Amino acid sequence: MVRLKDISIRNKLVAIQLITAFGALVICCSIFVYNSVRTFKSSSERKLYSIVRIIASNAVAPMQFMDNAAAASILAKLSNEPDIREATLLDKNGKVFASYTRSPDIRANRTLLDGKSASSTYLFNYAGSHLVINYKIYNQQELVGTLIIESELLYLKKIMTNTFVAALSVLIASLAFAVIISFFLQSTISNRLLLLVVKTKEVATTNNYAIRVSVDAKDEIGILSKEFNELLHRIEQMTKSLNDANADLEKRVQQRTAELESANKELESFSYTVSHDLKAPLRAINGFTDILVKKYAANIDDKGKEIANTIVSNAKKMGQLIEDLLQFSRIGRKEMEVENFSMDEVVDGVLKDVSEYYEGRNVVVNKTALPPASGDKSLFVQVWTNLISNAFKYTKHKEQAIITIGATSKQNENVYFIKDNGAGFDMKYVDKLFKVFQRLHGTEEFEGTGVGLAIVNRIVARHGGKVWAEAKVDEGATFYFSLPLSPVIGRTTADVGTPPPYSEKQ
Amino acid sequence: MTLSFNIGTMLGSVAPFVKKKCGRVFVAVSLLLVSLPTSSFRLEGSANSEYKLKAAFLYNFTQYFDWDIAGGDFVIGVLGSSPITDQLEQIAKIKTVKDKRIVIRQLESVGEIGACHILFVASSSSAPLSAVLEKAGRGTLTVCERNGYGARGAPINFIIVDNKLRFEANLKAINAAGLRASSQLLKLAIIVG
Repeated sequence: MVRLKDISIRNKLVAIQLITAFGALVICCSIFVYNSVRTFKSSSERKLYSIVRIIASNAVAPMQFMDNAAAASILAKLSNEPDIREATLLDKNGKVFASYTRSPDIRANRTLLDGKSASSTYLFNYAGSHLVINYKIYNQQELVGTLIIESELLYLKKIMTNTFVAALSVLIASLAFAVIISFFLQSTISNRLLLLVVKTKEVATTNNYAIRVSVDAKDEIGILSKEFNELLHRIEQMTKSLNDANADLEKRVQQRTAELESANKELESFSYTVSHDLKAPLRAINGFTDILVKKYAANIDDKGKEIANTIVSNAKKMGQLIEDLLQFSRIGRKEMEVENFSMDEVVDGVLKDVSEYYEGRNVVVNKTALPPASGDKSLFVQVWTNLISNAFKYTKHKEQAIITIGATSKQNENVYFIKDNGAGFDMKYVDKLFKVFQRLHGTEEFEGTGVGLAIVNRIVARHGGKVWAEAKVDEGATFYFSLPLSPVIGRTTADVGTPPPYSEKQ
Repeated sequence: MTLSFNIGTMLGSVAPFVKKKCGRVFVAVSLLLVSLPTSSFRLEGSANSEYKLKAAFLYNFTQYFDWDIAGGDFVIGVLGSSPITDQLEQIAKIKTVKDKRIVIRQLESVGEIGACHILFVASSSSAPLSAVLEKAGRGTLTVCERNGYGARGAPINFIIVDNKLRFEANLKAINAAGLRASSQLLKLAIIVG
């Protein structure tokens, strides 16, 4: 079932025109038919009335002289009228004086109409398609008799049929004409509306706001078309300015990014070069101080030796610092080789190395099974080396160092942790923990350059994970890092300061 | 509106036909066309009803002849004694002719015949027709009621045909009396002479 609303305007217009035309025509035809029938009836009445009057005037004398044969012969003249079914002449007492029937099998109607007492001289009565007239015959103001004639209105049915057929023909012809005309006329409305619809669809699909509709009339559709064009013009302008602004913004972003990248590259290159170049003079300082202490030991007093040793130890520290810096820088630039690997294997390897380094320490390591991970295996060796080294390092004042390594699996990530019972730290400095050269303890107390946790942070961030820590002073610390199950490899938001992959050729 | 036949024309054409042919032929033709119930017109043999009818006919004749009745009354004379006189008196009481009073005169002999519009010669009268006609003169319609009188020169003569009252019209006699009968009347009459 199609709703009226959903029918296209073209069909609606045609329908409206047809319904209107049909209604008007039906009314016209009804009036036409009614009028024809009425005209026919009234003309039949007039004709019958004339006949009756002529017959009546001729019947006066026969009735006066009681000559019913003459009266009958007058009535018999009605045989020339095929409509007249029968006629009866009644005398003034209502008795039949003479009668006529068109064919012998018709029984003459000899009853007077109810209007006998009425003052009118004649009275019509319709009985179906029969018309009966009662005519009172007067002679010198004296009632002579009554003439009853029944006419069959033979043509009434024919005329009604003909009129009806004619009306129907007019109706059909007019409707056909109306259809043709409306198809031509409605094009002035619906075709233009359709054009608007087509253009609107075209604009919607192609986003081409340069499309325009021709405005050739000042009617409502013309106004609509004009406003449509105006709207499109405005959208076109807005789109253009928006695109311009967008392009400008894009350009600026690109420019800024390029500037930033170049600055970063320079900085990275600078720090790498500086670190690299610093190593040579440092080696010289180290080497020559060593020579000084060994070859010229006799000429230097104890105080001098002590100073020389301090120089060597500081130079070593500085070397370590430069080495760490280079490593930190390298991690940022290194191409990652992603693979699935066993975290257990990595941790076990690192534990073995670190334990050997700290041989003689009383350390208990509790390790549970760790879930495997996906990423650059060598970088995780680095991560665990730093974390386990820290755990050993910061528990050196404890008689019994306890290190716990484990992991928890969550819905979309694994969280690895390492817990110690070492020096710990104050949680209010936790923000500084993973930044380069930020140290919470003095180098005198715990050796180190302050780069290790920054490296851990950078590696985990490159794998899409996060690093955090919990601690209490003198009660130990727990370091956590998470790795997503579907790893996001590459640069992340946490990695923004990281320089882009750097070519070793430099 | 057109009529398939015109009664006026028809009457005009029938009238001369009637004049030329024998009246009996016309009656025969009329009877052939339609057979009528005649009971209501049958004379019952009663003299009263016969003369009542004859009186009514006499009165009706006044509409079909053109008398000059410029002044005075409309006079109907009855020659010889007849029940018609009483009947005519009855009519005279209630009817007029062209707004004139109807006066009935009982005449006993031809000599008494004066200025009458209609002179009814009763069957009881023994006066010779020629004498009556002569005495009646112009302007008087003489009506008789004896078989054969029509042919003998009475303008109108009542006869009984098939037990029904009819009348003969002698056109020559009517003309001789200086009167003119309407064609309507002549159609109903049996034309003689």
